[in-house]
Amino acid sequence: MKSRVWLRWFVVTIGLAAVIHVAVVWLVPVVIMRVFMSRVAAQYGVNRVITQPLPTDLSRTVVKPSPDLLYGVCVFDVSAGPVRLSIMPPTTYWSLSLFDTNTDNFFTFNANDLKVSTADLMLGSAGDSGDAAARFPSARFVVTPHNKGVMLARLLVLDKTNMDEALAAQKSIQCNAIKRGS
Amino acid sequence: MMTWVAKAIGVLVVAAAIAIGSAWAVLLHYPLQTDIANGSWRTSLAVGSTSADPYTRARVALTGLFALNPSEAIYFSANVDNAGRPLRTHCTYVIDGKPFVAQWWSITAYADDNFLIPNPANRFSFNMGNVPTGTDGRYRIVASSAEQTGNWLPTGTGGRGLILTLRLYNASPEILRQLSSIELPSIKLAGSCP
Repeated sequence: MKSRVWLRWFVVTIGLAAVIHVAVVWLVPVVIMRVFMSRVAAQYGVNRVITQPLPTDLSRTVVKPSPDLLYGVCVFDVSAGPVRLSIMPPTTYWSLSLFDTNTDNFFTFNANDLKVSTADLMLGSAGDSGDAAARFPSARFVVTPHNKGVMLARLLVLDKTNMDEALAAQKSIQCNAIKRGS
Repeated sequence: MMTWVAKAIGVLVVAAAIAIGSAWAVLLHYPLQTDIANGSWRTSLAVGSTSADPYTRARVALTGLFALNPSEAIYFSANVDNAGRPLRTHCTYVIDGKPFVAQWWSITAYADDNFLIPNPANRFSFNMGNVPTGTDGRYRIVASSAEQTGNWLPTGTGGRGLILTLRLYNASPEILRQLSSIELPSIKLAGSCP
């Protein structure tokens, strides 16, 4: 009788552990992204570009930064209207990548996608696409899975010779909220 | 009544410890089903993908936040040498490889906390633009704490785990098709490592 009681507690413990395990795994990316986004938003605001110099050992905001890339970060929020992203691309590697709140990289734009000299993207909900297309015909419209997310620009610095060009491109990154119908 | 409540709390605490411990172990120390092994190196086509499984997403969040999906970048990671021994920052390793067909590539050293390692040379990586190749078309990088002549990739002071990351941006379709068999840099221990 006593052994059956212990067996029941054991089964309950393992079952509960399985449920918590799944919850932890599911929550880790969501919580880490939310913490990152809320910290950036609190310090710099949303729909604003933050730039940093080349990462070093002192760069400890995000794990595994590449020391060969200049980054530009923007926490976007399209709930009040579309957000326009743009960059004057350098001649070396660059990309604008968009991340959902669960770490998924749902869109990336790079030199291979470029048709004109400025990369011009409009982020928003599906309902904003018609208005955005009419007002900003040159911009490529991207529907975001959720209202909030992160844009990360990467600019390659192969060596010191292209540093100035990469810095100029980093400075050119725009991430601006556009009012609906304005 | 009190005994029952105490038992329930005990069950909850033990279950939480098992759950968190097992999640930590799976996410940080064991290969995932989607991992692709190639010698010392591992990668995954699920990284950054919108079809990633929850374990991959959690691992990305912990060890490589804002990783791009494979159509843009492939990330190989190594924490063991050619013989399967864990990489340590106080040991010396010769990394020998050939350039890749990609828009750009790099090899970066990280400590086991996934951050760049402080070092007097302020060098954290070698990339296709700054690593010279020999007459055989291959590059040789020495990863060590002690300064080396040639391509020295500093691993700092203090004995801790070392992680090497190989980034391939806009890799050729051939590379993407042969992730488990393409030639990746070998990581050989030089001398002994206490």
